[in-house]
Amino acid sequence: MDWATIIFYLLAAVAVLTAAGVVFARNPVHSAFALVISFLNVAGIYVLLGAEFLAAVQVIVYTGAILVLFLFVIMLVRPEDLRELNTAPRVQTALAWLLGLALFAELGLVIATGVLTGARGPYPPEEVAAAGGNTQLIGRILYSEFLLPFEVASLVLLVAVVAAVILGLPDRFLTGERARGLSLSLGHPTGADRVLEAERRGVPAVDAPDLGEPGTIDTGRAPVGAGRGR
Amino acid sequence: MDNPVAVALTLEDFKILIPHAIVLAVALLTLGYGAIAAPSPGRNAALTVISVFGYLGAIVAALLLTGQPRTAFSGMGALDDMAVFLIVVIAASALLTVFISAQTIPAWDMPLGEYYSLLAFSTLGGMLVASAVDLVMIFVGIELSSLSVFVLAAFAKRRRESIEGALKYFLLSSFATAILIYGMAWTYGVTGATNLNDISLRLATYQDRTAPTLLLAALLLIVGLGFKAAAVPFHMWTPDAYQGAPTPVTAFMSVAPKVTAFAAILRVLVQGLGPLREQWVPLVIVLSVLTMALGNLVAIAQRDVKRMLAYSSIAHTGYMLVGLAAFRQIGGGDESIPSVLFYNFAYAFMNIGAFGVLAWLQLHGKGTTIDDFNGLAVTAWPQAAAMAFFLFSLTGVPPLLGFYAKYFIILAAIEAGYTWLAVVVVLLSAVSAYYYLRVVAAMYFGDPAGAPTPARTRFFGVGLGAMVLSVALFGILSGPVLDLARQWYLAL
Amino acid sequence: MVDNYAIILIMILTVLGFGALLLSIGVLVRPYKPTPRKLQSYESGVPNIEPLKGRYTPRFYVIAILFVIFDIEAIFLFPWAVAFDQLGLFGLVEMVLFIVILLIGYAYAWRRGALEWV
Repeated sequence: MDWATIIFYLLAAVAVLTAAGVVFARNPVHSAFALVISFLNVAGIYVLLGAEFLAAVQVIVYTGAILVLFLFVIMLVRPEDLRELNTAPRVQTALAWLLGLALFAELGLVIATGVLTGARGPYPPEEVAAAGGNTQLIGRILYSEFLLPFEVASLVLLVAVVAAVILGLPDRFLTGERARGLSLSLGHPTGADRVLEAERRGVPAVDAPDLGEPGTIDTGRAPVGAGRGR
Repeated sequence: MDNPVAVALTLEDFKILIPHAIVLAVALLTLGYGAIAAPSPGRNAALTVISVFGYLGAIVAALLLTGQPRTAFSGMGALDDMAVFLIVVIAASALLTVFISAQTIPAWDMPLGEYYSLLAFSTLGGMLVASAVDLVMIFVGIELSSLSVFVLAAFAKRRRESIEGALKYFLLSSFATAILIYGMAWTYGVTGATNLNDISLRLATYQDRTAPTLLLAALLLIVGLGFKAAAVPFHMWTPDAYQGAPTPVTAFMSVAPKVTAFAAILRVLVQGLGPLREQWVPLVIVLSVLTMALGNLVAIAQRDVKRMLAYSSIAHTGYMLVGLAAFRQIGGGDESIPSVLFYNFAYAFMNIGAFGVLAWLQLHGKGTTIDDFNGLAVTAWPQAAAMAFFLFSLTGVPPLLGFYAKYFIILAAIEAGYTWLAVVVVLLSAVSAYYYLRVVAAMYFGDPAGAPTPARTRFFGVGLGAMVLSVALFGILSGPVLDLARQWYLAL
Repeated sequence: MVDNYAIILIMILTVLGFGALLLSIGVLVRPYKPTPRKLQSYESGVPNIEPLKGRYTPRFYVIAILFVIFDIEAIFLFPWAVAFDQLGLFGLVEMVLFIVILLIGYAYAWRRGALEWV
């Protein structure tokens, strides 16, 4: 066994174990951090495969951005609430285990018995090296051969922006009942006046009516960030 | 090392994207104008006009480009005649949706600009899939199409059911997407190509077509695409997502994403994995029988017409899969794929029509249960007649559009030697008559339970009228339309 | 190629080792006399007025999603920049189109007030 193989098994083992940790950890924050380790190890495997650009994407997008998103969700939805939600019927849990194991067995069987060296793609390692490396070749191909999917990808991202705005912002932002124009007001919370008014009348800021705008589902509890009016 | 990349693109190549560019323009204009202008009836009318003329333009542009197939963008996209047919169906379903949305969406306090924009983005995604000849292109097209529909399904975000349905749809669909892309990865791993024609050529040279890796690739692709088309047993999201979404959205999402999914299925399974026909056809047969049976039988138990139509749309997926199962080879004498194309075409008109009448009822202060239809023939006879018309067509009563759609499917199944499958289609259609006609009976023989509250719906009425006309007219013209589908498919 | 990553591995190990070293020096040297006030979470010197665990407004989530989206946009710039000398003007036009489409999204989010704070 050469070094690359040893390192692969090391990375793979840690990736699988931490992935299991994501599922089985009781505390969602622990899950998120286990996921960080898992992602980093997968990035290591990409490096071993010579897919350096993919490794960089894995670190920047997954361990960077996606994990930030996960931590935001954990912050927004308190862990106590998640535990209440986790009450799937026993039959469902059993069925999920059964089907999951069946899928695992199926994939394992194919990988164990199938001939895994299929037709080679158009870019064998020698050609990648000749083109000046993985990232360079991806650049060449993505922006010439795959230019149409690349431009469509920007449309997918645009829809994602629109989706975030529609689903994340309160209705009054969308129906145009607020001040218009391309202006930014950093550090001037729109709800601050109401909070100050509430405090003057002796109502604790947290209980001030109609604070902030938690968007869509009435949580029955004022959001902390908005309540303080920072 | 200076080794410039040559991209061979001529002006002619951009022609294949003209219909797509028009719909993209609709998406960007409605998004921008909707955000810039203050909400007013005038703005809403302008947004509707942009959408209507945009989709009409896309349909006309696509039809003008028939008979001159062209592949461009390094084999990523092609505007062959099958693409034109599917583009017309998808754009037409968006157009019909605009008609039933224009007055409903503002009445329910939802932002119309964003609504039209997402509708156009979803349509664009479907059109891109229809004209894609590469797995990567199909993937991004499907994602663009379904991402927009997730948001549309959650558009009534103050209602808990809307959020719930959209969330179920989103989570399960993400899972299916993962399976789909895994299948694409296996396909690429085995064949070394993402271009569907290349895949087909390489598969044809393989001696052992039952290699486990190949079977796994095909299986994963079928599961992923079957989910998008709402085939049983991957249908779990459908009833909740359809019921939760605002009714015009339900009309759209019961048609456009389904047509998109079938466009992808035709491209991937027929054009790409055609040489593996013997391997995937049995699976499609099983899926079709399950889908027809469950869709039709569960629909009987529904009191809510919206949910009933959701299950009935599952059943229609089953009929379309029967046509797919009859596939033997690309080219002459094979009626299977033309029958699937025709079914998609017919389904778009009658299904959006049925949901349209439902939206009309809601706009007039009614609910969506079967009791809300009681005596509609007395209180609002044109809408009742239209609804009866659409339901008869969905059942498959001759000489309406739906009858010919089913007829061609059955014919294709018999020709392929699956007579028993054709019998199943007929039997389950008879079952479907029970729940469709129950609504008709409620409208014509039920006691009127209060007149609908008045609302301004002239534009809406024009749309419903157009759909009634289409269902009748294309029923009579079914021969020529099928010929078109056949001829376009032959040119593939 | 993989050998170059040995340097990164050494760096990771050095950073981990250095961090562990500093923390253990801290444990050995610092005095430990806790009082309730000292154990409070830091709120810029103001006494805590509400429990640490509460809800935050979902508006933060929109910001997080926008961050992810523009992060992915940035990812597309890397291979483009590396291969730019080979792609030439055509590549520039492509990337400008890509960025313009995303700028439309940015302008939309701005216009709708997604970038306003609380």
